[in-house]
Parts: sequence; C-alpha cells; structure tokens
Amino acid sequence: MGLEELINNCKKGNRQAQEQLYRDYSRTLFGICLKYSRNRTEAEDNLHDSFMVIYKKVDQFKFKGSFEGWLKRITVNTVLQKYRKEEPLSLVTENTEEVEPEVEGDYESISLDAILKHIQELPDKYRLTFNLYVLDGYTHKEISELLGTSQGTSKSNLARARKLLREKIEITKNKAIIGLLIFFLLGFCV
Amino acid sequence: MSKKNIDNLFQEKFRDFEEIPDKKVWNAIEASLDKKKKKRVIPIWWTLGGAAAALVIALVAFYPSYINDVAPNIISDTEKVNNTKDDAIKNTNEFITEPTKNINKTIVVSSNTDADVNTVTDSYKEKKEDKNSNALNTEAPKKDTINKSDHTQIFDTSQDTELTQIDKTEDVVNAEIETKNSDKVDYSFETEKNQEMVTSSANPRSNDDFNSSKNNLTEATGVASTENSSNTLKLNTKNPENSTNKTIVVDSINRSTDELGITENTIEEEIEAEKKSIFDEIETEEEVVNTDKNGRWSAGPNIAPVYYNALGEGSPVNSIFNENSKSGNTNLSYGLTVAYAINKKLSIRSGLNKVDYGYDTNGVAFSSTLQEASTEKIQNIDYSSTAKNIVVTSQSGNFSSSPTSDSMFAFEISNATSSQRDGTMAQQFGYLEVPLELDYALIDRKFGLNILGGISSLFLIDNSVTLTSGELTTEIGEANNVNSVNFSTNIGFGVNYKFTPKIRFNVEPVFKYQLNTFSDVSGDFRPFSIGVYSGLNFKF
Repeated sequence: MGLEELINNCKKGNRQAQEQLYRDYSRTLFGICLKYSRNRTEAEDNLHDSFMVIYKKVDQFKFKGSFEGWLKRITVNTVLQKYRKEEPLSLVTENTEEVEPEVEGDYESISLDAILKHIQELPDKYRLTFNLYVLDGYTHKEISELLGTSQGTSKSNLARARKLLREKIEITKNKAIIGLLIFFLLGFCV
Repeated sequence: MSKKNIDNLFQEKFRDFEEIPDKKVWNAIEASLDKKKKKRVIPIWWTLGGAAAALVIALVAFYPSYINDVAPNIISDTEKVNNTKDDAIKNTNEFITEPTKNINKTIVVSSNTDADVNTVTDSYKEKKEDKNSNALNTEAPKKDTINKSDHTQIFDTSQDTELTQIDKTEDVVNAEIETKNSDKVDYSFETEKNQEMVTSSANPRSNDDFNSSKNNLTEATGVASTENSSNTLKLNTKNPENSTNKTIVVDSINRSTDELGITENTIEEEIEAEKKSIFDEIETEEEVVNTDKNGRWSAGPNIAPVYYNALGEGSPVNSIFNENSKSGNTNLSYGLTVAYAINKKLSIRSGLNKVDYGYDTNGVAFSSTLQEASTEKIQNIDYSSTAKNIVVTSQSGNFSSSPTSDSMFAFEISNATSSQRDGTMAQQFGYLEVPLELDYALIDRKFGLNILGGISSLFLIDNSVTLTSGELTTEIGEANNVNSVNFSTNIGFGVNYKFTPKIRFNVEPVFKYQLNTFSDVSGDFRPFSIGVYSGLNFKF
C-alpha cells in the first residue's frame, strides 16, 4: 500500500489502513511524545490522543508538504494543548529572570535514557520550551504564540531549562564520579 | 564546553529519536475508535428523529402551499358566504312567498323584482308581461298618484287587516281580498263589466293558484283602473250616480291597489333592510375573515433567565455524588417564537431557542495522579486529554476505588503540600430548543392573560464538566450519558400588554420538566427548569 493510498484509506476510516499508519509512524511520534511529556505513561496517553486527532483530521491533509511533518506537528500540538490547558492548575511561579547558563563539560558519556529523564523532569513550561526551541527549531515568537506567553518569558524559560538540565547532568556526572571512586576505593581495599 | 554544547548534546542524542510504544497504546486507540463508531449509531437515530420532528414543525409552520391554501379556503368561505347570502335571499323570498303564498306577497315581490332577486325574476317577468299586456302601469298609481291621506283612508276603510306585516296569513289576505272584492261588489255590481271582473277576482280562495289569483286581481285592478280612466268620464256624463259609484269602485280598487302598494313598500323596505343586514353581515364576516387572516401569524424575540435544578437525590455523574448537595444555576435562554392563531383564543407556537443549563455538585474533592488508572475514572465522563490524571472523589470519601495516598499527589509537584483540593463540580449543557406549545388566552384585552402548555425538543450542542476550586477552574471532560436529543414538558402562564393591536409585550414564567436528559442516572435525578420568558410579539 503506497503512502497516498494509505492516507486515502485512512480518510475512509479503513481500520487496516489506520493500523498500518500506526505501525509506520508510532515509533517516531512516540519519540516526540516522550520528549514532550512528563513521563512514559503520559507519553503513551499523548500518543493515543495524537493518533485520535490524526485519524479525525486526516481528511484535511491535502498532500501538500511532508505527511510525516504534518503528523509531527499534530503530535506536538496535541501535547502542547494538553499542558497548556492544565495551565490554570499549574502553580509554578513564572521566573522571568534571564539566566545565562554557563555549562561546560563532557556529556558524551551520558545515556539517552538519562537525558530523557532529565528533560521529562523539567517543569512543563521549561520542558516544552526547551523541546520546541532546541530540538524542534521553533523560534521564541512561535513558542510564545503556541504557549500563550511573551517572548521574554519564553527566553527566560529556555535559560532556566538549560540551567536545570546542566545541574541535573552535573549531579549525574558527579554521582558517576563518586560511584567510580567508591568502586576503585573498594577495589583498592579488597 | 559552551552552552551550545548542551544544545548540541541534546540535539545529537535526540536526532532520529524513536521508541516503540507499548502494544496497549494501539489497543486503547482501537477501543476508542470502536467506541466512537458505536457512539455514532445512536445519535444518528436521535438526530434523524429530531430532524424529522423539526421538519414537521417547520412544514406545519412555514409550508408555503399551506399559506396558498389559505386563500382558496377563504374564497370558498366567501363563496359559502355568498351562497349563504343567496340562500338567505332565497329564504327571504321563500319567507315572503312561501309561508304566505298570497297575492299580496306575490305582487309585492314581483313589484320588487328589480334586479337582485334572481330566483323569482322569471315568474315575475311573466307577471310583469301580464301587467304590461294590459297596458297598464299598476305601479305608477300605487307609488306616485296616491297621497298619504288616501292611505289613511284606505286603512280606515279596508280596516280589519294590518297590511304592514310581511308574514300575513293566507286567510287574512284572502279575507282582505274578499273584503275588497265585496266592497267592489257593493259598489260596482251595477256595472256588468266590473261585476264580471270582481267575480273573477273574487275567486282566490277557491283557486289555490295564488299567482293566477294575483294576476286576476291585477287584471281586475287594471281593468277597474281602465274603467276608472275610460268609463268614469262616460259615467260622469251619462249617469252621475253610476259615475259616483264607479268612482267609488275605482277608488276602492285604487285603494286596494294602494294597500297593496303600501304593503309592497313596507315589505320592500323590510327586504331592503334585510338585504342590507345580510350584506352587512357578509361584509362583517369578510372583515372578520380578513382580520383573522391578517392577524394569525405572529413572531418575535424572547429572552429569559432560566433556573435549572433537579428533583430527587441523585447524580447523573456518579453514585458517589448522590448525597452531595446540588445547587442549580441560572443561565440565559434566548431565541425566536413564531405563533399561529387557530382562533381568537387558541394559538399554536413554535420557535428556536438557545438555552444553557447547569448545576453544581458541591463537596467534591479532586487530585491528580501521575499514572492514569481507569479504575479511578468516572465512567460517565469522557475525560479530556488534559484531565486524564485528575482523580475526582466526593468529600464524603465513599468512592470504592478511591486511590491510595501513594498514588495521589498535588496538581503540581512544586506545590505538594496538600494532596487534594476541595471544590465544586459544575456540569453545563447547551441546547437548541424547539418548543411546540398551545397558548390559550384567558383574557384578551389591553392587558392579557394566557396559559400555555406543550413540549420541547432539545438538541444538545454543548456539554462539559468542570472542576472549580477557589479561583482555579479546569475542564475535566464531557458527560457521555447525556442524550443528544431529549424532550421536556412545558407548562406556564403569561401576562401580556398590547402596545398596539399588532405589538405585544409578554412575560411568561414557564416550568419545564425534562424527560430523558440522561441515559444513565445514578439515584433519582429529575431535572427541571424554570424560566421567565419576556419578549415582544409582532402580528403580521
């Protein structure tokens, strides 16, 4: 089944086509969900919701531009919508203070799981801003529109995100060094 | 490393980042798709049913051919009225001719033939011809040559009978004719011609044919008049005595003619009067028909504060809220009303209203979990994507699957001091309402009073459940047990004030009891609404 045929069948509500679409794109879209969500469970929820939106809106896809790009945008928007809606209940104090992160060091050894966890542990706005700006190339203007904040806030959120990530990574790194030291010490003692 | 490095680090790590989701995600998607499909089946029937109902109402209210039909109906009514008019005229004629069946009447009607009364024209034409064939103008002397004093004399001399009444009995008239004829005999027996005439004209009683007797009388009168005109002079010259007698005879005959004339005039007037009254009546009826036709339709806007609440202890959301206190909300309803007056008192009306209903369930506690657990969800609510990790319980805490404290935490990690929030849960519905009501006017003056009752079809267009705690509000989703079409029975009364006959101001408190708002209700929850509808009504 070619992509066009697949899309057309999805537009007709064909279950096989819907399943095929899921099989083809769920991994990529789940990756996005994992980056943007607080945890794996929420990421699964978001993936579910995103696919529901995709199946609902697939008939609006007019074969202009990349289908995968369209799917990614829908996924990002679905996740943003979720966390943006929860905004009234979010009691995180907004810090507009501009923080210049000065992060240095070698992070190459850090595992993907570890940095994913760091991102997920960021407060919603920091996480979303960092993802949008750093990983998906959105501008501050676009982010401010998407999240309903000012550009200044967006920049501040990004700086805070970087700072927190650096701290988390450094802590992890320190923990690793300490662990390594303990390992050597114990080995030495033995 | 610069800050760019950390960005680069993440960019590199997440480049082409993919992960295979758990199989349960697809299962959940499949279940949602199935649910959506199933869900669609029922609303389609409801929607079709509702649409059909709306169509019927629209057809009844606005079907153009119905309006076109109104005109022919009115025409047929008018024809009916015309027929009635004709009937009335016929009846009048019958009334004049049949019951009396006497000469007087026949003559009277024949002398009144003039145009209008077609049914009798032919026979009268013959009679007229008869009269004309005698070359006599019987009407002329009746109307023109006789003065009022003569009438008085005639009444004095002709006595006995009152000729002014239309419905004289045959006997009376015959008796009268006899009397006249006997007078004639008294006065004219000396003259052979007259006697013959009188004799022939004295036969009406034995002869049942009153027309012929009338003709006889006319001829008699005519001949007598002829004699009056021709013989009087002769008699005057030959025999003064005879001439006197003859003159008397002629006078008598003239008098009898006068009497007939008078009677005729009187009846003529009465017929005129009667005709007039019939025409008046017809005109009045037509006016009424026109007024009715013109003033039957009315329409106007209305607006109302609507208070919504429910009878009984129960909750359409979940049994855990059965005992929680509920408070009704006051919302707004607005729309258009179209009414058609069936008659002066009764009118049928419909329209379209947008109405919001809502109520609060008090004493609700809610919290958030990290992991979505279906057991903690309220089955009657379709959670929005943003609210899947909100756990709602009653403050009374009798929710069997209430989560353990381990799985509960505050809405935001940074504010984890309290694990749950107290507040209210508001359920809000928006409907398009199509009422079908009968309106009966008890008092229809400047100030009017009316009672009304009927049903409404309510089409769900908005449905939400929100949680409120202090100033924080979040939507948790929508109720899935609200029927997309439901009905209500309506009863109320209205007072109105007519600014002009065409513009009316109404205030109508209406109680609406909802019949099938929810498909699944826990406990006893019977919603109702009370609205005070005020609006203007324009007749056209």
